[in-house]
Amino acid sequence: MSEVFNNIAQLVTNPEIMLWMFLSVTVGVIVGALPGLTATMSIAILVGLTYGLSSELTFAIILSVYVGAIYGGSITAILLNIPGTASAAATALDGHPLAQQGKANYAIGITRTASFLGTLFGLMLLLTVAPLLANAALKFTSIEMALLALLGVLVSGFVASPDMKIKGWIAAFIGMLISLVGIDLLHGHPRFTFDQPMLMTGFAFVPIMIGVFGIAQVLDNLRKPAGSRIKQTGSIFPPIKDTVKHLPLTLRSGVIGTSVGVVPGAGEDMGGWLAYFAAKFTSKKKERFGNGSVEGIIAAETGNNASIGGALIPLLTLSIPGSAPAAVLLGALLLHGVRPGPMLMTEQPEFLPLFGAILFLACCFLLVAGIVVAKFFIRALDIPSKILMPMVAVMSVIGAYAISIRIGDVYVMLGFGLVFYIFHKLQYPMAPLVLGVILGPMIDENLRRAFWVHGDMVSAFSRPIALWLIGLILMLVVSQMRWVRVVFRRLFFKRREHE
Amino acid sequence: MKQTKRIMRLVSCFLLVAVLAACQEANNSSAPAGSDSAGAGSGDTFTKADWPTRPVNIIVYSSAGGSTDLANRAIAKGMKDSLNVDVIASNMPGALGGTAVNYVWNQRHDGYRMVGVSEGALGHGVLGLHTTTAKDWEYFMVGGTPGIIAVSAESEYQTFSDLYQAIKNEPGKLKIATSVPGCIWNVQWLLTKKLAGFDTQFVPYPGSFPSQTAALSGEVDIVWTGLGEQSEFIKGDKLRALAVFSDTAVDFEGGSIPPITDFIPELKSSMPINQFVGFALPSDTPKKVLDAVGESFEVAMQSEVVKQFGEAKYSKLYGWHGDAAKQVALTQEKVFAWTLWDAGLAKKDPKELGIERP
Repeated sequence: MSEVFNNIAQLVTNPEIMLWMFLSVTVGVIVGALPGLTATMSIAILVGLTYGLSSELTFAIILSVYVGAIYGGSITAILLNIPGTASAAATALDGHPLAQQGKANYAIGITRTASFLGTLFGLMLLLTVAPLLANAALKFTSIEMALLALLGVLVSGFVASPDMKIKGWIAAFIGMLISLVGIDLLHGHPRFTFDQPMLMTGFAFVPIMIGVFGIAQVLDNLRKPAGSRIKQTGSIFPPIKDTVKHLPLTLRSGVIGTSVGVVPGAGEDMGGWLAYFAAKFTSKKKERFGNGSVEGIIAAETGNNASIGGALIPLLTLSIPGSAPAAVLLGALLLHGVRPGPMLMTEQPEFLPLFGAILFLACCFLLVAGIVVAKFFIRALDIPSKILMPMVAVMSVIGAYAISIRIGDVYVMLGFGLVFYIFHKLQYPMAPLVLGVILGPMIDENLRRAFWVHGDMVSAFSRPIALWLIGLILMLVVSQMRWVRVVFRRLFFKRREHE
Repeated sequence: MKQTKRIMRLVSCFLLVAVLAACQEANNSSAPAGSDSAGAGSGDTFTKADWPTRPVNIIVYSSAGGSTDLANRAIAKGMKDSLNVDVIASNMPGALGGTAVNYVWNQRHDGYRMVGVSEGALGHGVLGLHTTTAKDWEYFMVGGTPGIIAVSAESEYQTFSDLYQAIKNEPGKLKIATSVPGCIWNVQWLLTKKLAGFDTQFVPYPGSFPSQTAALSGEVDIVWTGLGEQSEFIKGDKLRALAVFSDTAVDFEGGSIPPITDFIPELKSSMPINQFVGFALPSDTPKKVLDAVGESFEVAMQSEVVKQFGEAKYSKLYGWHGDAAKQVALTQEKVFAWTLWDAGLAKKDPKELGIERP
């Protein structure tokens, strides 16, 4: 803990980093607020753009944008009834009715403090749980890593699909197949390369990420008209006693948000939703929910921002990202020579305190940047997408090129963007695809190694943690089969009738 | 409406500035590819004052943060002053290093692009990753860290004798991790296995760090990687170093790690086979360029940054180039190629590549 404070002190005295962080949080809030520009997309592009910077500055910029963007979505949710990022969907339910009642600024203000407290809470859990979990993670051998990564991909597919879960899983498996192209790391054997030198290296995942999150979204958003904003009235500084009054709720939502974030693949939007439902379930004023409940927006915003810390826990201890933005962040870490995993605290003991310090400062900046954006930059929401989206497209190209100064990466980025635009239109989610690309090699390598080490399948799968993970995976898959659902529904409804 | 436009202009200006700033940085640290189509003529028409007239790039064949990367970043800083131009190290990992080697080989052989490599590149020929062999390259070897045979601190094996005895009692039972197949640690282990019956079951991992983590989790019994990579683990009492692959002991943190030849004297004949990190240029690069690089390399080896690298990564500093480095590379290539071929890992016959059996 003391190292975190030392790091904070060092960062505060560095005006360059402070300035960049403030700008980044502000840009993050704006990006988050703009419908169509997401946290994942902006981090993906930034991974490319910041490649040449020092790792300290890079993480400062990227984490700031991350924190800002997850909050920024709520501004649009309140003013336009469109969540600026997926994670703010739950906020829209009550935020927009509040705005209609003339409390737009109040809602913006109260979600800002909720986001601040949520991030802070997630951060504190990250700093306490990560070292403990890292020790436990040392017990994980190849088979457990393979199954955990597979579970992450499946959960992500499950959560991200708007209609049929199988679509998320199809996207995830396409991602895993893409990741297999190239020379495999265990035997040095080329796979799916068709003797093409270009394919020997496989596909770099940053261009793919930029393609599917940048280009595909750009194409999608070009057609969307800008929404009409509700007039902002009232003070943007909500009374502190309102925040204090809801502290127990904030704490509970923080716990829910962080725990959801920890589940590999679940992500910030799930954190927001679950915290919202929990608040609704336990609230004394249930009827207010959906009509402008303050409790509702506090829970949702605390929950989604707390997920940031949660998503970073498996990322740093197991190198399994907990959400789509965290998956992209993993790309940035690897590019800068940071190897997340159980040995991170031993190999690079200075890293976690630095990470914590940056995250802490980013959420402090959020308090200020939130006001700046809501007051002065709110008109950014009126920029028509035909102007905004080409700018994003240009930055996507620069980002993809900058990583290894290779024009081939730009083609990969554009190709994937165009192909997956079609998938996107058919409502195949993109987050599982990217998670598949990142975790695919991990599943493949570890699974093959597990059989190698244990000699056969039965003894590999008979370890206790592995059995648990297989159980979870089977449950997830089986729950999507129609006859199982029918049986379950019958059982469930029968019990209801008895009550 | 007017105000909207103004804000739009403001925002686009801001974004433009941000992008430009980021590009500037990116350009500073990696290859500005655009500049060479107009670059200084081909290697053949070279005159002395021509080199270097613009930044020199070292394309490192592995990812950032590894010892090959750190060594090249250090030597790049050291060479910058004596060459009077920027020397920029950037990474191009992929295909076990084949990508970067191919890339540099396919550029003009004019000295502006060097490839940052380690001894692992010596296996590229037989592994079928590249068509060239050591005779086609001039090496500049910065240094190398010795190979360490270690077990988890919780392991029952206190000394190398304990371990060696256990292996002899039950050959092929204990599992060993030596990073990727074909790397220096893998080759050292294969040699020991062949010459001294160090019969252990090999489990592949995609690098030294995953190998070491596997030893801690108990998935493998023994880990064989570099001292520079193990140092934090040994200091933190997670790994126990049993022997060093060398004929002399290595001092580490007040203690001493015994040489493997104390236990297996017959290995002496096949030494030295060691790690080296540094960079390489195609042999048909104009001689004057190679001389200029050599001069600058020697100056850089004395610089503080390179010395710091040696200390931080527990690497012995070599500073070899020219004929001396070529000899080391050719000798080691024979061992690499034939050890990999005998182990069934090679894809091409070393004989066809003109590499004789050592």
